[in-house]
Amino acid sequence: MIRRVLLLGLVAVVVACTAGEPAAVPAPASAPASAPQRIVSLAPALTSMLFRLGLGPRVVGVTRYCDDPPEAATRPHVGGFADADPEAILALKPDLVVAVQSPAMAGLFTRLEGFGVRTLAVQQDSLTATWAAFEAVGRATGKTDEATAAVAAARAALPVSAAKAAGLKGKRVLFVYGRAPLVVAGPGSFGDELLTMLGAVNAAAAFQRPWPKLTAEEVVTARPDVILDAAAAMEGEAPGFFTGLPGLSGVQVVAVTHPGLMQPGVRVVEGLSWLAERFP
Amino acid sequence: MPWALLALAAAALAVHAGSAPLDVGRALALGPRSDSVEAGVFWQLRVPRVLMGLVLGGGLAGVGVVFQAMLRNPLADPYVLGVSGGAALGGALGLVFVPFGVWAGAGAVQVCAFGGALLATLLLWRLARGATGASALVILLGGTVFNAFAAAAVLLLQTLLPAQRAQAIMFWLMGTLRVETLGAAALVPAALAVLLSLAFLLRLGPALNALALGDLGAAAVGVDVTRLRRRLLVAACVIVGAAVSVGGLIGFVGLVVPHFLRLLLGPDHRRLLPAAILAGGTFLVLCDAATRALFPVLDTDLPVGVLTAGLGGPLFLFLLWRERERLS
Repeated sequence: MIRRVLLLGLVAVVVACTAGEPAAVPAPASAPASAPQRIVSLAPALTSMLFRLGLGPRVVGVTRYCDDPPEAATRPHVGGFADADPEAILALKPDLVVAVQSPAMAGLFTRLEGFGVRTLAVQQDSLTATWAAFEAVGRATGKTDEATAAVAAARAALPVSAAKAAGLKGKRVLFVYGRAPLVVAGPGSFGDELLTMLGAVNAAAAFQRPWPKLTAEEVVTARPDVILDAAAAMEGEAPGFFTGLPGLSGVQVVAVTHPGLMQPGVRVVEGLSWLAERFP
Repeated sequence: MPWALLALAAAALAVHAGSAPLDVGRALALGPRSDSVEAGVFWQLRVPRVLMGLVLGGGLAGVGVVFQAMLRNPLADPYVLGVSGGAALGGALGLVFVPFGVWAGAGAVQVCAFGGALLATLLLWRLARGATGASALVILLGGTVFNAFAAAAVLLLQTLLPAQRAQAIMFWLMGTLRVETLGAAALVPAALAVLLSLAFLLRLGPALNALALGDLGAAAVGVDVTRLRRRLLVAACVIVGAAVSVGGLIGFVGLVVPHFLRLLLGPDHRRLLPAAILAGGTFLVLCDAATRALFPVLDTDLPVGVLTAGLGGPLFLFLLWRERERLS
């Protein structure tokens, strides 16, 4: 009896939940009829792109994490990544909302589209994806040519900046993005893309995941010559953290604080120049 | 019905609280069919959220009353039966294995969470079935241990997942009424499940009173204890499963509200249960309104579970302190 009731309830909910709403309509990728005038950005990297396309005055809302350029932080905040607030967004009367694709965004976008707001979700987990995202943002905002030109310029500038960081060429480098837990850039990650461009050897290449969490033992056996400590930006500098490990007393630890090296985005060119100054 | 009036007043107050200012009078005048954004925000975002607050708060407080009576344990709350752990684990598995595309509006996670809740209850029911006199103890211990196990499993998933998905799980588990993005297809069945189960529980008030006499005493006044337990358990499981599936783990509502009202109204479940349901809805709706009113300060709406526990904990301790002599 009890099982039958429970089963019936489950079936009813499954049916009710799956029968309703239509799937999210993907935002049109082609150029819109009219360029959006009021844009809300739900990701710092996208905010940077919009301002670089000269659309700063049209950006009417950002997340609480958006601080590049500094002017962006003065725009009204509509929440964070997983907690962007539909009511706060709609109150800004946007005609375009841009975000990085994620589970949290799917439901929100369905809602916003119900209110007739255009949405654009892009991927941003690698440099390649970032350039594609930049061009998509350009197309959606009527700045196609500007975006294409900016991407081409950045792509051309990257190898030039990377070549200047000759001090990293051929070195075994461990790119650390967190110390507690100890997260490093593994194969397929943004940090790995950077190391490849720099001609360095990723000391974490043996770990078959983009962002492996390592133990102290694994850091030692990775035998790095150089440790780029990007965790320093969030967790503060701690050079002794690595040099205190057995066999690593001679390792060169550099605290990486440039925002362009934290996550894929338009600032990566400046980030590489910043590295080049430290590894001439 | 002073409690109904209180709930109504709380709801009327809560629709005025939002992350952005809104002319409520104008939205009311425009009506739900209007195309204006103002009316849309009010009728499609705010009103459903407040209604869900009433329903979930009422459901959690009602289940709290029922569990405390059924298990004869003042510490029992809606999550004690492992239902919350089951729902959390089910939902987290849904977040992991359901592909991105299926996400939009379909409420796949909600269905997984509800399924997890049902499976956990079924497991505990099986576990406790052989133990007649000790079944309350078996259920309590089994539920607690299952919750701990489920918490470990969820942590494992969080560790293995990419950051974005791990964050989504964490947000959902924190307990929030951020239900606007779920859509009617997920909210309506959940609300219906809670309301129907509550209506069913309300009819069992007298039997709950008999249960306070102990299993033998209840049997002596003609209550089929095993059957009653089973019915209470199923109804409670449906309520908690539905509540967790849309709101995550909203703590303390099911603990503080029943105790507060028991001190105020006494132990008669015919009065206590309906009052607790209405007061639970009131409490949750007011807490949620406060989180939304805080949006301009915090740049986010605080998960309401933070507030229910933050307010409920001290309130509960205060009650204990005041009533310590009567309780000892």
